[in-house]
Amino acid sequence: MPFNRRLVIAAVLLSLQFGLMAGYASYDDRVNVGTEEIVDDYDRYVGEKVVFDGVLVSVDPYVLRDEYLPGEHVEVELVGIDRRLDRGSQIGVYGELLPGKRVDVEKFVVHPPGNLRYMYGVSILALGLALAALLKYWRPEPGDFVLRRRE
Amino acid sequence: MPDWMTHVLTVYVVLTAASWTVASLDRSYVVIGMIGGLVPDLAKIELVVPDYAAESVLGIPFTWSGLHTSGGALLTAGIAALLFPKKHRKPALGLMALGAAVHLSLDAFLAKPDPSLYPLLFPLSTWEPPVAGIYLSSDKWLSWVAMPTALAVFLIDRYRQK
Repeated sequence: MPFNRRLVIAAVLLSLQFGLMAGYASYDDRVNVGTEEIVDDYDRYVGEKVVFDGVLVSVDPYVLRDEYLPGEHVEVELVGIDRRLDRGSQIGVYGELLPGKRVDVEKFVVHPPGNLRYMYGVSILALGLALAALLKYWRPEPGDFVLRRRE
Repeated sequence: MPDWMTHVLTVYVVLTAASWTVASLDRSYVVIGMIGGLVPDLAKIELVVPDYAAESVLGIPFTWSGLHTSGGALLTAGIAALLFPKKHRKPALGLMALGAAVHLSLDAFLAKPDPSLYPLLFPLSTWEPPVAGIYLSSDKWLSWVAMPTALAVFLIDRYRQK
């Protein structure tokens, strides 16, 4: 297939991709409440089910810090957790929003701090492994913008 | 997402085992599937260009998370398949789509605080599967299972080639 035709097809697929991402964002905005919206109009969401994701900055009481934008964060007290958790853990909670920046937690997941470092480290290793495997069998030809199979 | 090692090696195990019965599925094709296993996580661009930054430039609602859906992954696979010569393009598309499907399937078993996952089949459907909650994205044991399994498959594959 000539390069120009491939370019046209790529442009069409990219346009569809951007359309899909915009459509997904519109859907998400309609269905889910973002942390920023809760912070901007807290009282409106009291009594509703919410999700917060962040770091446990205190364990007595449990306080989660959610950095929803660079330099912008909210701290909420977590009520109803009957398990011992470590300070510094990454935590995601789901529950009812209570007055006074508190959440009655119904469900939560906790990532121990060391596990996230492991996940990122091993993921970078896997990316290198996959790219090395690709280049072992396929040779890039920058002029044609194509990968040719090595014989 | 589980770690990328788990994603890449799961696709490697599935495709290498399949290659024992499908003669045309050689190693050069298996590696394309492995790359496909990373395709949905192109959404991690968000870590470099956050959604809010993209939205402020574009002036419309926008999220990279759309790449982490069936439709988004298929379109990414379609774009990436254009990098291969014509005779390899259809297999490349199919293998990358398969790798992406394995990725999304693994992610469907993640533990999350929310009661439902996300619209996995977007834009075909906005149905959100319930959260299975089998493992955390940061669980180490996933890769600890994937790595020896992949090594065993690698050794069997080399043995069969002899």
